[in-house]
Amino acid sequence: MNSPSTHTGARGTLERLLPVALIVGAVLVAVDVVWTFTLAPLVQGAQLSEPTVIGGMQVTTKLLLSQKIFYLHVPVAVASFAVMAFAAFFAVRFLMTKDRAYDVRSKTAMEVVLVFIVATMISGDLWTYFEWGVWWVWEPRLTTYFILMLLVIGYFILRNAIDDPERRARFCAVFGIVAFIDAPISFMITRLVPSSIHPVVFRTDSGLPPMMLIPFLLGLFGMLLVAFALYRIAHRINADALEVEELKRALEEQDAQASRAAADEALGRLRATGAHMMAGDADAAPADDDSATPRHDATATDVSQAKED
Amino acid sequence: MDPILAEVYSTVLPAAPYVIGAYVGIWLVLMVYVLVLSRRAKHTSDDIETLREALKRREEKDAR
Repeated sequence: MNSPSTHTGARGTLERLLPVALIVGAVLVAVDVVWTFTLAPLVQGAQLSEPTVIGGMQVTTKLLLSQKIFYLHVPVAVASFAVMAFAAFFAVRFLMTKDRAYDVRSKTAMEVVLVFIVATMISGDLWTYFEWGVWWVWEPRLTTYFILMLLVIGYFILRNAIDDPERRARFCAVFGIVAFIDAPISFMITRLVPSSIHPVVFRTDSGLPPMMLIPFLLGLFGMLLVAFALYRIAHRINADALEVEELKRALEEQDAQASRAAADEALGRLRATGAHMMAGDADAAPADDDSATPRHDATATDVSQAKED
Repeated sequence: MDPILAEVYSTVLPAAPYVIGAYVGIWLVLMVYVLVLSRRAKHTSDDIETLREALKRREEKDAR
């Protein structure tokens, strides 16, 4: 596979598609939200004390509004898993190629992952508090997702702790890949642990009616497009920032080299002057010993004069 | 209101602030990230401008 720097044509196409992806994503999510609160039916909760008829339909359970969080909470969570997969992929590519462009991509993807994880956590916690009466439950899905959040935060702590760019990129790539292992575990945990009380959305037998499935899918694709657009925008900014930092470093190195060269030149001149004077001093010394002291004084004065020059 | 209907919708109104909070929270987090990105972009463009000026000064100095 070619280096990212050689993908100019593909990158140009992606850049052109970026505003389209953002707008389409935002529109899909907006349609999802409107559909959720207008057309999507309320799901059924606890049993009523006695059945009743509403709009010609028999109702035997309470109706739940809190479930509507699911239409945006799940797409955001799925987007966080998807972007994390890309972050790990770029980390693997970095380890294979040592191309720092992949490190920037991986870091950018991790940023987007953190944003989506925080959004998932906020919406999920509000649902948890309303439905379960507590802000937090050490339930398998919540726990593994919380670990994922800690790992992503740890990734950025590690990034800021290492100064050497090469080591930082290598260590963070390895850490990112290891952190990604938790993503599929968190995604699958509700199926792997039967005692999990977290609702399961992705099931072959979920049987969501079209009026609920369509807004969910709109939200899912919309949020994936928004995540992609955010990633591309952030990547462009991060790549520019990295380039600026490298240019600054190159300019500073150039300045330092110029200063060192000027200092070396001055030192050379000084040494030449000193040597010249010492040679003159040595020539004159055997002729008259008494005159040695004033001559040394004169040499010292000349050297200090040369230094000042 | 019919007591049965009141029971049917008993959890709808209490849940509304949480549902609205969840939707607003998600958009707020995304907006904050966009804000951070725009500030970072501005910072980068300021840096580019500074570098450009430094380069110009250097070229003028070299020319003299």
